[in-house]
Amino acid sequence: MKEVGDIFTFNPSKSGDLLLYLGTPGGITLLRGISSLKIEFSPVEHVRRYFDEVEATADLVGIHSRIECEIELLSGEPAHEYLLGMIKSGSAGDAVEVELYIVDISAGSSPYPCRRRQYSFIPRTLCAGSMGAGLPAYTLACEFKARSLAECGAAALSPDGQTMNFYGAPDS
Amino acid sequence: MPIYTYRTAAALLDYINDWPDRPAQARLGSYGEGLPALRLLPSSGAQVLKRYADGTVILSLPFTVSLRARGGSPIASLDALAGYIQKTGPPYLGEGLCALAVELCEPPQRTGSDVSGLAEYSLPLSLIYAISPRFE
Repeated sequence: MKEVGDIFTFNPSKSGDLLLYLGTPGGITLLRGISSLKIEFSPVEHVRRYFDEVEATADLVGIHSRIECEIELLSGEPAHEYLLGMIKSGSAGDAVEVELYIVDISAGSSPYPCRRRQYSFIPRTLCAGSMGAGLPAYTLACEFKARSLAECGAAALSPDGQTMNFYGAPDS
Repeated sequence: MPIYTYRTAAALLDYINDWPDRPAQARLGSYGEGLPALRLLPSSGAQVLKRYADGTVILSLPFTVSLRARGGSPIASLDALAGYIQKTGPPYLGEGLCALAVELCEPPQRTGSDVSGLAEYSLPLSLIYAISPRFE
């Protein structure tokens, strides 16, 4: 006779398996305090309809990615200070280009698969509010819009996971 | 995460026992010999308040500091403990854990008594703390 576990498994992909690291002048550091994270993919399509075909033909020629997130700011956090510095100085254009590393730690052990890509940092709102525990905190809502191709590689994390080193794949 | 709950409870005990004006040495889960006696009683489990995308979790662990005494001014003593907590800030919990706040849930109150004049007074508190994600 089958047990319940034999016929029904439920193994959700955990939040926390996909980490976001930010390249800062001091190194590549974990972007902590992200309370909501959404990676949007906008397909770039080439659609045409030939005279001898009834329906249109669509080709996917690229995917443009955009990361939307809300970050609860922590004092003294290097990645947060770096982003806030850009807001305070009113940076724009190339000056808001940041390097993000998306690391998938679901694989098991370091080095983990990683994708490096340049993004434009676009701040949306900075709100005074409270974090989950009811403690006062500023929340930064922002977007990162891709402005380069992604480079695949591997990430070697420090033991506490706060920093990482990136090793690009030779053929990427 | 029972191991973390035990670690936090043990750290809280040290924290309460660092209170210079404590009427007695606090014990975890039970009262000591004699009167007055001080007990730290954590609740059975911590409640998750928030999870972050990087795996960091913020938890709330309710606990109660109770003072058993015959006579004296136990309410004033627990009030003084509340003042000490507000003045000193949250305790150190060890590696991988970070205390954010100790919140006073209610004012000290009498929670039990008997005919001999022995009474128990309690101060309900809540420890808010964060657990960092594990990578290895």
